[in-house]
Amino acid sequence: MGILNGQMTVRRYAVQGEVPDGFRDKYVEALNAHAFREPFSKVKKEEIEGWCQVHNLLDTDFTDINQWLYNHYALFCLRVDKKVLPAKLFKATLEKRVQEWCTAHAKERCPRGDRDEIKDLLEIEMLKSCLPRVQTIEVCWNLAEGWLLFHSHSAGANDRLRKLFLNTFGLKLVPQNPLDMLGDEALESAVEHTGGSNWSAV
Amino acid sequence: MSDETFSADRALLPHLVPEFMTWLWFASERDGGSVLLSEELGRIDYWVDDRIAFRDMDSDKPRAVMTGENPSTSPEARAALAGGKVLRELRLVMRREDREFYVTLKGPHLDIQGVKLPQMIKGAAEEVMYDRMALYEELHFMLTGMLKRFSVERTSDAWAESTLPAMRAWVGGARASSAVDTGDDAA
Repeated sequence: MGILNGQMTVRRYAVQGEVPDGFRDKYVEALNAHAFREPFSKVKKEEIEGWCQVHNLLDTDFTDINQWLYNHYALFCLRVDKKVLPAKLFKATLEKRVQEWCTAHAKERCPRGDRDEIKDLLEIEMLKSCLPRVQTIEVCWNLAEGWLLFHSHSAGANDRLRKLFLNTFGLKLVPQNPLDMLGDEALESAVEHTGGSNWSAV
Repeated sequence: MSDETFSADRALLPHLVPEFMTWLWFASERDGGSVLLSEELGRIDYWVDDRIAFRDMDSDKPRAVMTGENPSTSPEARAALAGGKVLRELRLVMRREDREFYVTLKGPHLDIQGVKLPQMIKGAAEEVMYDRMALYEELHFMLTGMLKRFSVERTSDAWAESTLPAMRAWVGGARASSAVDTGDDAA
């Protein structure tokens, strides 16, 4: 949503560093190496991230460059999955399990160690059947002119993008600074020496 | 490779984007909403659309949001400036030739939000993307042109001599009109 259709909400970056000769093969390898992979364990709570195709978040093979490289534009998505247990249901189920333990052991209270064990087992049980919350954010990279659009303003998502992009391509992303848009050193320097204006000082 | 070399170490100027947005709003009324950006870019028309958000000077949280028809002409909007609030978001319509772009500007990176591009060809994803990227780049060039125009005026002698007094009078006019509306003496 955004690059291909609908309203665009983007942060612009400059890509610092050179695109290498033979980048197509190198970037296929790089994208595949950092593509989104389903976790081995179904009980993983941590966020999992990686690249996927724009057309379908389940497509994570970048071998066919026609699927993601359009002339000088590379188009792909950052996918982030996280399993989040429904907190109220988890708490209620835990209380039931603790009550069952007390009944089975003819005790009024469940000791902390046993309660923690019940909690850990319940978490594993619920994570197995819990679907992840899936987020995909579009990336459009103009390789010829060295800029990139990321379809999110969220600080966390932008941090994640910069790290994964550097790990994948070995190139640094620098967010747009309005001063750099001026393209004139003297003007940039003059603006840098201005202070804030006070509109109400009549 | 890059024709854009953003400086990683260069600090963002916290006042730059709010001032730019305020100037855009002011200049849209002063210049009749029409400006010749450059020989290459030609003339564009622009006006403030249906959303203005303000924040306090020292916080990024929105403190006042004005939406609906012509919020820029309401005394309350300029009174917010007079009260020391700064612009956080400004929604604009920019028209070049027969193409209209809707965009919300948001600082301090001058991010763009809720961009509605003027047209969209239907077809293969590849064609759609080229079309939309060409339109996005046109919007970026227009915003860059406006930012340059602001920066030239902001750093010239004319800023202190005429622009800033005119902006203060513009803000003050809203304050006076607001005071008349409420039956108070104009400050």
